[in-house]
Amino acid sequence: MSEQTHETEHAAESGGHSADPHGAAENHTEESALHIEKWEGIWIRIAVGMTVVFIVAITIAALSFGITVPGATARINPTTLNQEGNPFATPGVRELAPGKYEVYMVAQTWNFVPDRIEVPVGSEVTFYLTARDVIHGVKFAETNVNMMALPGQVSTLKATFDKPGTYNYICHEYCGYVAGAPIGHHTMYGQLIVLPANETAQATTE
Amino acid sequence: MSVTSSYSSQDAREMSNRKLVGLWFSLLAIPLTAIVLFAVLQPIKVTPRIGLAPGFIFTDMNGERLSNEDLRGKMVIYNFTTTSCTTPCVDTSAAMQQMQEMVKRLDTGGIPVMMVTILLDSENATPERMRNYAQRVGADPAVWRIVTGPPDRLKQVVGGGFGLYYEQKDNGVFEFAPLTALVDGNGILRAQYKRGAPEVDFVERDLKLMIDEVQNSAGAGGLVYEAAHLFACYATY
Amino acid sequence: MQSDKAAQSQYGRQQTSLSRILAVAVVLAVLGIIAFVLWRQFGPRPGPQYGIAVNASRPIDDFTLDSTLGRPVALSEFGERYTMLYFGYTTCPDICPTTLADMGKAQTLLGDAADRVQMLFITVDPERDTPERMRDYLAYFGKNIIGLRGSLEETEAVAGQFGVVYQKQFASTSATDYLIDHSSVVLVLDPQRRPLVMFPFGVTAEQMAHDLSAVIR
Repeated sequence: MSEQTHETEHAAESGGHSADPHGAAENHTEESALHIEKWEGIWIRIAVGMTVVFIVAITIAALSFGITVPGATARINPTTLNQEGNPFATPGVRELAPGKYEVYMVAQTWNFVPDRIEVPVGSEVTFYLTARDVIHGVKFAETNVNMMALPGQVSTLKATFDKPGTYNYICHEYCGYVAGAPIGHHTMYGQLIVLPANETAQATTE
Repeated sequence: MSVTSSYSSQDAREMSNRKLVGLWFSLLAIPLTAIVLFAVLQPIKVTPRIGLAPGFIFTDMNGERLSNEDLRGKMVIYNFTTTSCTTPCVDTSAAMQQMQEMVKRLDTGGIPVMMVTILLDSENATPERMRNYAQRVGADPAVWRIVTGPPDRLKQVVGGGFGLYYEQKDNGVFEFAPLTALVDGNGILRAQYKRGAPEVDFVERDLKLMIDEVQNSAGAGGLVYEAAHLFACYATY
Repeated sequence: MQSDKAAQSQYGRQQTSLSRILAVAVVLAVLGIIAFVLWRQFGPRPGPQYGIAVNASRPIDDFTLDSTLGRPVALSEFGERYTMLYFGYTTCPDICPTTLADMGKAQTLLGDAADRVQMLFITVDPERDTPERMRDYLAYFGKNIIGLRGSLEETEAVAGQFGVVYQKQFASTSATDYLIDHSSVVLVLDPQRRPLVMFPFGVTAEQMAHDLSAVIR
């Protein structure tokens, strides 16, 4: 018996025709196979496959479709925001041509300048946003305009407003508050009013 | 028992398993790495195709008509200013003079390069004043044309087409944001420089990229350039 | 016994390696097909050979003009389809008819893919061209070319977006006796209204059809 076993083991080591199922060789080969149940193996392969597919999809989307986190487009020195000639020194909405507007917006503690924008319906608005002090963010309700406002960075996004109405925008990056006073991140909001046809655009800060 | 190979079938399965995993891994990793490396290292740089440059018919200082059709086949550097530029206007004249020198000495491989200055103060820009301005900045009409147009067309072309904000204030002074734009020979807007005064080095660099693209994109080279446009640049604004 | 087992296992190993090779081949084939489909759909394309590749990222602004369909038509109406635009006028001596004829012929040459492309003709002569006249004129050239007509300001604004310019050339002192000098380019927009290809004057119908079938996904 022991001789047979010995022979079998010997055969396994020298790599001849081994009749052993893989389990028995574990003690002898240097790297041994990990036994994974069949269904477990399938499940793992599916999970890994999905992960790989999504990573590839994100890479392709970022590199060839330009789908990335919106929309850092420029650097700016936050201490120069009030200098003459800097468009952020006079934030507000400006008309480029009939139907096209640009809005320069500054996010500061704890309000947006401007906090009320009016544009006529159907206009295409390009938003340029920066922060004066800490990190803020802005999200315009019911639109895709959602960006971070970082001091030192100008974020840009374009949106077309086809339906008249009021679109509120809020700060969605926590930026502090004053204890016991009615002001803070939670009171940082504004309104974008899309006017029905034939009215002019303006922006104000109260 | 006979030794036919130096490893057991157990090891053989093990190794072919490994080879298989390696094969699958490389199937996915190689194209992915290639794309990422292409995008990061950018062996071929291109200027993005931002949009179609706006069409215009404007008049120059001698009353002659200049339209974008006349400029087809030429690479054009556009800039925007007024005849009487004081603050808050951005005076780009000095930079444009350097630009003219650069354009004259650039080896363009036969592709014509021109500069066009569009004057925003159309009411003030009489032919006389335009000639004075041209003389002041030393514009060589073979390379640098100075034009203006009717106010509403200017608004459409400059504000709507090039996306530049400008406005005449109550005191008559024009306030405008700085912009220099690069349009290629097919009428496609390829670059926008929004700094105070255009940096001649950047414009030169981008002109060279565009010239290289025109010269090298025949046949298979075209495919590589299309890949560069696809993976290495995109303008989303 | 050992040799039996050995023989059996050798046979078994062959069996296993055969099915393994088969499995690998099947998986590779499936992956290959998927990769091929993705490449065709999203990968860099050779691009138009005869036309000029524009592939701009800035879409054309939507506009609404009067049409030969009897009602105002907006560019965004053709949302799912590619659009092929040409600016001209009905009394144009030879450039417009030849270009329109080429467009119509390209439409026929495309065959089934023609459903994916909508041809549009925008008049640069709104004062003399009426929708009825345009409808009769366009019927000569193609089955489904929609004519669009706006006011003078609208036409100038729309044409300007495409880099198309035009100007009246008066032949005599009569105010209605003029030809129009105009940019003669055919523009192809993708379903998101982004300029895709520009065909300058002189590209034939076969060349247009070839390029169109290359860029239409």
